[in-house]
Amino acid sequence: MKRHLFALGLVAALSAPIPVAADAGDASALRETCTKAMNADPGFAKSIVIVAEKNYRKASYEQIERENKEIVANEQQQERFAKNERHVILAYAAMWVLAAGFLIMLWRRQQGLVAEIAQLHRDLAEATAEPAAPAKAPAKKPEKGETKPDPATKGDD
Amino acid sequence: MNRYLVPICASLGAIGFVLTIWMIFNSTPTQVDYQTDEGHVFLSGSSLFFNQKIFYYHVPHAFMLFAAVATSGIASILFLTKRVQKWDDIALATAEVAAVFGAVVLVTGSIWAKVAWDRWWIWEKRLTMSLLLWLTLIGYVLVRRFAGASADRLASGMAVFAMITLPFIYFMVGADDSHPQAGPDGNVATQDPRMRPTFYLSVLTFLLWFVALAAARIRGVRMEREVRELRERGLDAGVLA
Repeated sequence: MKRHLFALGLVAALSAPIPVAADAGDASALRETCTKAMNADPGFAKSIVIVAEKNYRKASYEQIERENKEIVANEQQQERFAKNERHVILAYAAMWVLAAGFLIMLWRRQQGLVAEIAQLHRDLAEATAEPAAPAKAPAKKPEKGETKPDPATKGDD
Repeated sequence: MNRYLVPICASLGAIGFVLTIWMIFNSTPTQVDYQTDEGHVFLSGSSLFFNQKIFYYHVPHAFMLFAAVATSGIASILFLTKRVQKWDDIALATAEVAAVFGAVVLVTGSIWAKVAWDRWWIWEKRLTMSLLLWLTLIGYVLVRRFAGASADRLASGMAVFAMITLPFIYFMVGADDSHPQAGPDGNVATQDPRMRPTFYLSVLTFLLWFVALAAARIRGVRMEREVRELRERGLDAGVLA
């Protein structure tokens, strides 16, 4: 029991951070003492190994757990990114909206132009046909102060 | 101009749209780049997964933007040298179509940038030059719309200027440019072979789309000119006020 306590104390002393100012000779002396004690008593050596393994495993488990958490977080982030359809839909919708907008504008402008051309053709045809067919409307009696309109100056205003 | 050109191109383009959409979501791989480091394989920073599918609309639109601007520029040069009205009609029509394609390129590119760079816009060389080109096209359209009929030569100069910017946009991508590339070495031909059929079909579809829109718009420009001429005739005849 005494030996075990000594061994634990020794392990704690060895695992504790060595002060910078510590003499290198002290550490090697402790190591040599420990080695001698372990060689002298296999049970003591075994207990040392058990404690050291326990500490190592604990540290390893903690590290593995940390790494696992990081991997899971990365995978989740990658999955979110890989399945992200929002931006693709947004981009395709933007293209279709712009194209549809341009098409509608084009079509409406074209329809307006067709109607305007037809109207202008009608107006011009009527204007050129007018001299052949004199105005059917009854001649309006000029009111007081109003001059009779001159056909030659029609539409000049 | 052949009266069947617009319906034929529009119909073929519509078939192309349907096929392209199907192929983009069914036959193209999800883009994932790997890099190896001492025997380990890691995802590369250029891995875009599902979001890379924006590529099949964004890049063909950029190609058509280039085609439209080049057509407008060449037609403007021919108009300035030969003074034949049809070249000006082509220049105006294709410049308007180019402005639409440019808007699509900038909007889809901005959405892609949000995915790739986590920012809607960065002042990267190619993006900045593309924005300048689009603003030039908008300027062209505004000049043609509001500066009157006599602005055709000024506008032609703007179209030529827009065309000159094209090589800068295309070749400006150097080693320090962060703009994503069509292929590993910046060449479309070196991209993943499984992506190529869909990409080329997409380019062809948007080419048909461009021809249909440009032809329809050229017809519209000619009708606008006809309206102007009829109005002038009407004014001369005293029919119109």
